[in-house]
Amino acid sequence: MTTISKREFLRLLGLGASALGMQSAFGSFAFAQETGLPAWAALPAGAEPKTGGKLVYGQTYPNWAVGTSDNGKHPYYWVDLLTRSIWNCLVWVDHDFNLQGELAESWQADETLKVWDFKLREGVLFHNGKEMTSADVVASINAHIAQKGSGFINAWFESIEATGKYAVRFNLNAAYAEWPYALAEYRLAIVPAAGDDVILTDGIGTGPFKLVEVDNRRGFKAIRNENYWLKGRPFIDEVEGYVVNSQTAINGFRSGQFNAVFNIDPTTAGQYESAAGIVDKATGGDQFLISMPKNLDMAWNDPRIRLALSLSIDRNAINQIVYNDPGTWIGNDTHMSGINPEFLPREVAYDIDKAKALLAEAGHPNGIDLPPVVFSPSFPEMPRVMAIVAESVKKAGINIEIREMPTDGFSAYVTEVNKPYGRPAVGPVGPRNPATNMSRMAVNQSEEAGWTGEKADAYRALYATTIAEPDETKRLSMYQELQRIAQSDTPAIILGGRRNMLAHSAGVVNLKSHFQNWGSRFDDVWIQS
Amino acid sequence: MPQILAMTVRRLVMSFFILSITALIVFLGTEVLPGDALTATIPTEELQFYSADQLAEMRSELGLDRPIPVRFLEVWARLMTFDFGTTIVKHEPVGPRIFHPMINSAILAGVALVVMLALVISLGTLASLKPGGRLDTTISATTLFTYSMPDFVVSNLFVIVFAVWLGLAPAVILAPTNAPKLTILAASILPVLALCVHGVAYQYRLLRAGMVEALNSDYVERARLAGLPTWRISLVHALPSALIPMLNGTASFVAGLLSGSVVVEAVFKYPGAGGELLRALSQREIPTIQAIAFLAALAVVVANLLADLAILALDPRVRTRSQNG
Amino acid sequence: MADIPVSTPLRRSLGWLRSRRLRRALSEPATLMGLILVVAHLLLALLAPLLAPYDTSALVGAPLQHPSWEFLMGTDQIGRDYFSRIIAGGRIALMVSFLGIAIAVVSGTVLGIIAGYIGGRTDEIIMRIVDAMMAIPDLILIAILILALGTGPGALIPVVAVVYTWGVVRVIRAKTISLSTLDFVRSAELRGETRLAVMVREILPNLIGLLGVELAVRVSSAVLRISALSFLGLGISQPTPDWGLMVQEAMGVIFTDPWFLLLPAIMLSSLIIGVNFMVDGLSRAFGITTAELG
Repeated sequence: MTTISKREFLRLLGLGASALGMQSAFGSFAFAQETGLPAWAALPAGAEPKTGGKLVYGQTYPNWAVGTSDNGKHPYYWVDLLTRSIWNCLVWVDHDFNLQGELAESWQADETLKVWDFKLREGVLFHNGKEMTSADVVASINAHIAQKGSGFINAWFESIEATGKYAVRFNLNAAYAEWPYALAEYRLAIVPAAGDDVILTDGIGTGPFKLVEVDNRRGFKAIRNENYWLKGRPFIDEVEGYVVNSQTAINGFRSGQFNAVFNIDPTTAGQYESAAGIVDKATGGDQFLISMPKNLDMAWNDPRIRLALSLSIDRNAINQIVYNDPGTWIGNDTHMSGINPEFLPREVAYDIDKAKALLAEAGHPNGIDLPPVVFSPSFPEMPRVMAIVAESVKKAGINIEIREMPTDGFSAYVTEVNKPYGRPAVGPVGPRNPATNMSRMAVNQSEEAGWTGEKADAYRALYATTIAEPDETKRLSMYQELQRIAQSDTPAIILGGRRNMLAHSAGVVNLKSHFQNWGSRFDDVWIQS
Repeated sequence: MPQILAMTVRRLVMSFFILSITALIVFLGTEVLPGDALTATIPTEELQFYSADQLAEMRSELGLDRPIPVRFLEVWARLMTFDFGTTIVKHEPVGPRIFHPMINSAILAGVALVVMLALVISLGTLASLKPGGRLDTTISATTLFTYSMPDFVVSNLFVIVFAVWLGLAPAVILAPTNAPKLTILAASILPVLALCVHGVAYQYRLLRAGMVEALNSDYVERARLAGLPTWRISLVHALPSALIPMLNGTASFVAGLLSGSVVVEAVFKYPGAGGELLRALSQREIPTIQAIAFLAALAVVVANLLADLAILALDPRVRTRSQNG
Repeated sequence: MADIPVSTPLRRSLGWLRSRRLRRALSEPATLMGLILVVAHLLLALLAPLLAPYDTSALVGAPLQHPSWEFLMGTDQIGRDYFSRIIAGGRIALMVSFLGIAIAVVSGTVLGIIAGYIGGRTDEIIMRIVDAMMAIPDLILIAILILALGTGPGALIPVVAVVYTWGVVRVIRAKTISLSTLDFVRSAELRGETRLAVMVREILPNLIGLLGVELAVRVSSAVLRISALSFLGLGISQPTPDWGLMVQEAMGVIFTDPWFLLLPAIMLSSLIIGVNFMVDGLSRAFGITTAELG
């Protein structure tokens, strides 16, 4: 009856590897006995879900891929990232950061942490009526590798094979203790096996809703999947989602066209509440990263200047003014999110005097002008966050223009066309498990932006050992050491995170804001009345 | 009549030249200033972050190392044959991508044009019945006032008042880009009205001025002396010649209408080319930007051509004069 | 296609500033109100740094406060003084538009007089370029140029100049053609003056009233376009105070704090209304017809 949390799972994993061999390292296998549903799918106590109705939501976060392709049936170009209405992945990260089996029922690694066996759920049907088997999973994962679906799996993946009708095995090229987490990424949907050219393009998944119509640039319509593998779900008959800007979302909500809005601008919460809307707030969300290229002759090639910049940013003001969440966690200049248990705050996060002293030491006693940083707002409050940053660093004598441009932060462009990483830019960083978070300073060229030197080498070396460490407690302290190394050199500024918020009308029940925007679920939501 | 035919042909040839120059401007704007399409994809202040080698390499990948005239001829040939190339990021053909948005925008602009002309003609005729009278003053002051309202403010207020508060129209247009055109037409009502608030004023002033002048002319005076009713004098005798100054301003009128519709489409989330253009700008999809800018210019040129032909039909005197301006 | 000018040639005299026409124009309340609005806006734009109680980008209080003695118009979403931002919100757009249009009027006048007076093939070439430039909707043309040049004032001024030159050419050309047929030009030609001299000494002085009107009308339309671009996220960006941007931000709190939208909207509209009423009155008084402004 209990869910095995990530921590317990990892402990078991350590135990299993050392004492019990192959048998003990299972993922979530517990089921709510009376319903046959996995425990994570259980509804809140006293819930009396109703069947029927329609959820029409607005989404203010236009993911970077929106409209780049005409094929909205392909999950990569899905209009708004909230893919779990149509598709499922092997695993899902729940609202408490625990890893849960979605299409995978359980998983286990061998002692080397390089071979991972996944047992698949049986009796899962695709929207086309075909049963999902290991052949589909193998084909899907291979397609994701071929189409570079997620940078978080490519670096480690070697091969995948079917080991039974409902079992697959991943072979990795290096030990990776947190491998399953990487499979929860929003792009890694499981779809029916098909040829290389057509796989992933037909909009068929295993999710609670079947795609009826999608306009890649605007929105989609979907209807209930009667054969959904979570029996008795979903509760709603129809789902529609539309990518809209913040203001349009408010208008749509207040006029009754939308009964929910994802990723509302925190400042606009009152516009929903004053129209009887209910705002649900997650404890975290995407962080904002300011990348500082170090491959050309720039003032911030001096780590003292990078640190001075970091120390002069009043991050508490961002939390207070933008997210109305004062006194909680702030960014620590690593990709680790404050909601990760491994998070290590900077010892001193905000210290104008120290920033000034560092600048003076670096030869800029009268302050310094840094190169302009550009961004293209992804989340609606981003321009205000950046205005606070630019304003607060002035106190330390740092002038930096953080300018909104109609293009930058558009990662397809950065990664596919403008290969060189020499662009100071601001980009969002989603909160993930520690191994994925810390990988970004080790393998993501555009984010580490030419970070070199002893500390960078030490970081990368320690990273490889860390993710090969089966013991979670040991890993935790290693992750903290990694954060210390990064903090001592400040390869990038990470401001801190959003507090993801969604608004819904009173009639919509159990719709929850997920700190991983893309982790939002639709199979446990119902419409009252 | 062969005279008219000759003039029409001359106009067509002229339009072709104008479009060629337009293609050149679009090409220069997107691919040459300040360097080329590559630097247009990198904001000026970021250029400093690229090494010369990196830029050269990227340039040759994009085929930008070839001479500018050669590239312009390619772009020109593409635009003139309505082959808009493929998107930079996903290499999907641009033409089919912008087909429906262009049609939807054409519907919006077309309806707006018709509604505006109807408004302009009725208001202009009414106002000219008694120049300086109360009706004239009121209409003139009101249109001058609405002309001063920024279109983005007007559109937002329209959404809030007519859609959110009064519920007369949807606040957000949810119709997909390829929705049946009747659905699009229905969705265009509020955006059209928002466009009219700003757009009517200018044409109205031209028409009113033309009407006042025509009503003071000798032949109208003669008609009046012949005892024709006032409405007949206005509509049959004065209006045709009064339309001419207004028709002369067609190019800037239609261009202004299209500018305004970019804003209005954004506010109403209308599935048109304006939204497509904004996305292309933010994703630096140069081929899409070129295509939309060129097609917008084409619309203006064609509208102007039609207006010129209308002038020929309305005013026999013009036919004998050369018309260059 | 231009109307026959009602005005008699003014010939180098700037005495019109004290003329009866001006007084008559200003006796119309609409014109006077327009003039007052324009002057007030210009003063505000110039003096905003002196009048503003706070730095426009400084975080000086809690966000979204209502008006008080401390903050005359309250504070914005991140706690900046709204009054300081409102009075400075037209500066950049006005400055960029004014300088850009000034360049456009000068270059447009040069090209327009040449096209109109020289005529022939020169005229033909210039006018086809004008047609082509004006065929691209100005908002789209500005957006394309911004993409290449950026959104700083150094980029916006040339962009405005390039986009708005061509309308001026058309107007000036038409007026030049109609002036060319008049006696004083004819007699200058008969006196054997060079074409350059005729253009500079005979035609140009008679364009001054029209040029003033052109300047005002086009500045107001450039301000509108730049604000619209800021509203769309393509123009002036944070933390620069700009009415278009403020309208965009204010839409996020419109249902709870509507004055937030009203203030920048009123500022922007009053500027444009002022210009239009002023121009309307003055051009009527000086016999510049609507068609001439085509």
